[in-house]
Formats: sequence, C-alpha cells, structure tokens
Amino acid sequence: MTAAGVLYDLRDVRKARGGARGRFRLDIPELTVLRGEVVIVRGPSGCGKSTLLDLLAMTLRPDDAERFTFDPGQGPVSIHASWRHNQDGLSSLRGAFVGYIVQTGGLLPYLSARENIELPARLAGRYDPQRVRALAEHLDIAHLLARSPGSLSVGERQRVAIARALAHDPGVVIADEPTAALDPVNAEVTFRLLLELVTGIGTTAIVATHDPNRGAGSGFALIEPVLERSGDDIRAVFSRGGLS
Amino acid sequence: MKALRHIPRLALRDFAHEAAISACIVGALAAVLAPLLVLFGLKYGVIDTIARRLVEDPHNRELILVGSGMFTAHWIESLRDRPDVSFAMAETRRLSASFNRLENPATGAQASAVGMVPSGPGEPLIPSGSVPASDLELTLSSRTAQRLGVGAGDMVRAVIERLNNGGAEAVEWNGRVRAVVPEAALGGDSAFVTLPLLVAIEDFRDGMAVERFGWPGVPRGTGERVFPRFRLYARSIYDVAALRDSLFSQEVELRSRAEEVEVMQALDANLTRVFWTVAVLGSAGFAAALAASLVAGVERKRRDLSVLRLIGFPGRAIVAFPLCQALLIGMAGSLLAGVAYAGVAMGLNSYFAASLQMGEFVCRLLPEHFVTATAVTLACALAAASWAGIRAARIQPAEGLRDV
Repeated sequence: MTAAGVLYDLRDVRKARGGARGRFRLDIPELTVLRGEVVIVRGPSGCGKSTLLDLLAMTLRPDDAERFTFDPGQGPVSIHASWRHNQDGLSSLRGAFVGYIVQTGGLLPYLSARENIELPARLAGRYDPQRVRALAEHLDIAHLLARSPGSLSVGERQRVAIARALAHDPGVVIADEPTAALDPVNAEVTFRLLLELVTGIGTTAIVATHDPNRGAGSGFALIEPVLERSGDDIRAVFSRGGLS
Repeated sequence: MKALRHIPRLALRDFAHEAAISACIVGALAAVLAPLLVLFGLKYGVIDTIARRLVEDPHNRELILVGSGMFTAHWIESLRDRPDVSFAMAETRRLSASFNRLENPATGAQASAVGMVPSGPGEPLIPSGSVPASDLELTLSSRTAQRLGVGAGDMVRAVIERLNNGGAEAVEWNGRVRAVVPEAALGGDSAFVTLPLLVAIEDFRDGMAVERFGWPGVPRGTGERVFPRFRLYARSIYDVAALRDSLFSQEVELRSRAEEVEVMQALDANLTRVFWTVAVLGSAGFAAALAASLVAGVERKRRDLSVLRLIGFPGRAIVAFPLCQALLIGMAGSLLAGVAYAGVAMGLNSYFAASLQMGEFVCRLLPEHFVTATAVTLACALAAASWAGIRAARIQPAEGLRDV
C-alpha cells in the first residue's frame, strides 16, 4: 500500500459527550483506513463505535483534531477544517462519497423502497437503473421496490438501506451495527450479503458490530477500542496505525 | 443548487404521505383564519353600509331655515350652483302651501289640509321618476293615496279656498298622480308638487288671478317675487357643517343634523376601536397557532430531516423542506378558510337581505382583501417554518438520527 491509497487519515482526534451517568470521551491517537479495505469495528455497546462511525461519516463534529483527512481519490480534504468553514462542502462529500447504514430505519417513510434507494444516486448525479436493479436482486428485494418502508419487515428495510448506501457507488460504506435489530438468522444473512457486496464491488467499508464472533476469521481488518473507566467516566481509545 | 431541486417534490410527497396530519394542520389553520375573515368581512360590510347610509341619507344632508327671510329665485339658483349643494328649491309661505281638500273624483273619497312640498329635478327624497314633471301632476304620500284610494296614473281633484273681500271663494285644480311614495320620503297628508303650481296657489290665495288655470282675481304686479323659505340639501354629510357656516356668514341661519352625524361618527369610531382590539388579538392568536403547528411539525420530522442531511442534502435544503410545506399549508389553509368564509358570508347576507338595499352587504370582502390575507398567512407561515428549519439544520445529522 502507498500513501496514495489512504482514504482516512486521523491523528489525535477527540470527541467528548456529557451524559447523565458521566462523561464519555473518545480518543483516536492514530487511525488509518485504506481505499478498498473492509474494516470491522468491534466492541461492546456504549464503547463509542457509533461515535467513531459518525465522525468518519462526517455527521458529527470532532472537538479537536491534529489531522482528519478524507481522500476518496481526488486529493485529501481536511474534515476538521470543513466543519469549521465549509459545512455545505461536507454535505457534498457525504452525498458523493459516503453510504451510511444506520442501526434501524433511516429510510424516508414517504418514498417507496425504490425511491429511497435512488435518491442518493440522483442527488450525486450518478443514477444508474441497472446498478439499482443488480443491487436489489443481490439483496433479494427486487419484488419489494414499489412498497413503502412502513410495509416492510425490519430485515427487509435494512436490506433496502444497504442498497441505498451502495446505489451511488460511494467511496466508502459505513454501517453502524446494520444487523443489530434482526433475529440471528436474518442478521447472519444480511451481514454476509453486505460483506459480499462491498468486497465484490471493491468499496471501502467500515462496519461496526457488538457481536464478538462477527468478523472473526474473515480476514478483515479489526479495530477494537481500549476502554478506561474512572468512576462514571469512560475513555475509549480507538487506534489503528503502523500501516505501511 | 442541484440538491434544492429535489426538495419541493420530497416536501410534497411527505405532505401527501401524512395526509391525515396534513389535513388536520390545514383544517386548524382554516379554523382560525375563517372567523377572522368573517370578522373583517362584517367590519367592511356593515361599516361600509352604515357609512354609505350616513353619507347618502338625505335627512342627514338636509339644512332647514330657522325662521323665514326674503330670497329671490336668482339667489336660490346660485345656491344650486355651489359644489357643496345637491338640491335647492324655493318654497312659498307655509300657510298657503296646502290644498284645502283633495278628492278622488271616481269615489268621492276626501283628504283635507294636504300639505304641498315643492320638488323638481335632483329631488333627494324620491327617485327621479317619481318627481312631478308638470303643474298638472302631483306625487302623493302613501297615507294620502290610501285615504283617497288612488294610485299612480289616477286623477285627483283639489279644492283651493281663499277669503276675498270678506267672502270665501274656491277654485278647483285637476291633476294626475305621478307616483305614491313611502312614509319615509314624505310623511302625513302631503304631496310633492312643482314650484309653478305652488306659486300659482299662493298667488290665488293672495287675491290674484291665475290665467293658466282660469282662476279669477286682480292682475299680478311686476315686482320680483321673493320667497320666504327654501329647501336645501348638502352634497354629503361632510359638507353640511361648512355649508351651514358659509350661509351663516351671509346672515342666513340654518339648522342641520350635524350634531347627530357627529355622534354617529363618534360611535362608529368607538366601534372601530373595539373591532380592531378583537381583530389584533385574533390575528396574534392566528399567527401563534400557525407558528406553533409548523414548529411542532418540524420538530416531529427532525429524524427524517437528519436522514436527508445524512444522504448529503446541505443545510439550506433542510430549511427549504419545511418552507415548501409551510407554503402548501398556508395556501391550502387560506383556500379552505376562503371557502368557509364565502359560505358564512352568503348566509349572513341572505339572512339580512330584507334590511339591505341594492349594493349593500352585511359581510363583504374584496379580492384584494383575500390576497392580503393569503400574503400575511404565507409570510407568517414562512417566518415560522424558516425559524424551525434553521433550528433543524443546525443540529448535526448524527444527533438528529440518534435522538429517538
């Protein structure tokens, strides 16, 4: 790997959150993700996985960062600086290069499944009906495309959300426990489908899970936080460096 | 800008998807706006009617001479030429201005001591078609017509008496009834006649001959005739006081209803004040209700708005989304309120139709009033929605999504 293949490059990024039961602090001394990599972020509930993913998806503003760049292949963009000066630029980056799958929901209830899938692609100016059809067939939701999200099961909605995250051919897919709300069988199938798709297409993917067995032995890169507790306060350190 | 293009369609889809809630919000808006429109309609209709009646009612424009004087026909004509005068007509002595007896020649029915009021073109009390056109016509009060059993077109006979050289003399006058006018225009036993007929009867009572009708007497002198009285009406109630003062400076003292008019105007002003108090409170309530429902709507949609941001819509699109819906709600609410208002106004106007004259309304709004009401509604709606939208756009997408 060369430096040209680095998608995310984070150095000393911090985010603190106050809660009723104490403060939570996320520290990222060093974190690098390469283009085309599939990274599993694994850890128990409340360890800061979602916070890390939100930072990477540019939907949550870091408190401080020594370096926080995102380079989908057109030169690195400083995310930390964009939060300060160019939030519309962040929206454009998100729209063009990020596909985000949240734990549950995240679909617009007033659009059909097909329209939900197509919306980011149309917004990014990369609408390709063949790609949408291929994704729907792969995820076995082709017969559900005309239906509204409200009439779909939770598992079906998650598969629609996966299709939506991939429809605009993003630089990175970020999935925050995409199968947490599913029964074990459905969860296993959906998780496998997601990984098959991203590896098949060659898209970078960062997938969070609390399941200690998930991703084991898959050969994917794994990030696990180191948790430090002090009374009610928690400090989570995510680090992945030393790539060369 | 590309992202903004998608927003109106998405806002419309969401509005349609939540049809029941959208209908409730539109209904709530119309429920507050429609009574306000009716209130404004009543103000504009009733007050307009009262004002027009005030201005147009000839009784309020009448000036009555105090006592009597000596006025030439020329001077009275010069009054008629003034821009603040709508009608001026010479009158003879009160004592000579009556028929001793009026009869229906067909039945013999009689009325005695029927007063005469000189009339002519521009008569303010009756329509122009009812004004006697020659000295062989008269227009009867309804009471006299009833007493005689005559109507328009019927012939009547009048008896006019005088004392001459110690003996009573009487002559007859035969004429046609031009019209019968209601009590409000002419009360008691009386008739509108032309000035020449009135002058002829005064001459006869003064012992002079009237050639036109073959009435005997001494020949009339050549001196200029002077009239002791005149009828005078100002052009509008607003001219009354100035006209009275102007003639007072010519030592002609006139009595008017100016004081009553002023009292009515003061009453109108107070009613207007009360109206505006209610209207301002109602409008403030309307604006608050509209703002509350739109802000609540945006709060409710925070998660969906965050999804839009997550997909890559910029902050201004998040502001535009509730703005589009506010426009939809504002327009639909205004339309519904307009329809409700139209129904109520139609009901009120037909209920009170009996007490209204042509061209008068109890409840009335002009198209520009609706345009103003819609514009104010949309302005309030857009202000409230943009405030809520800006608040929503400031929330980081991740926070909106996790806030469940």
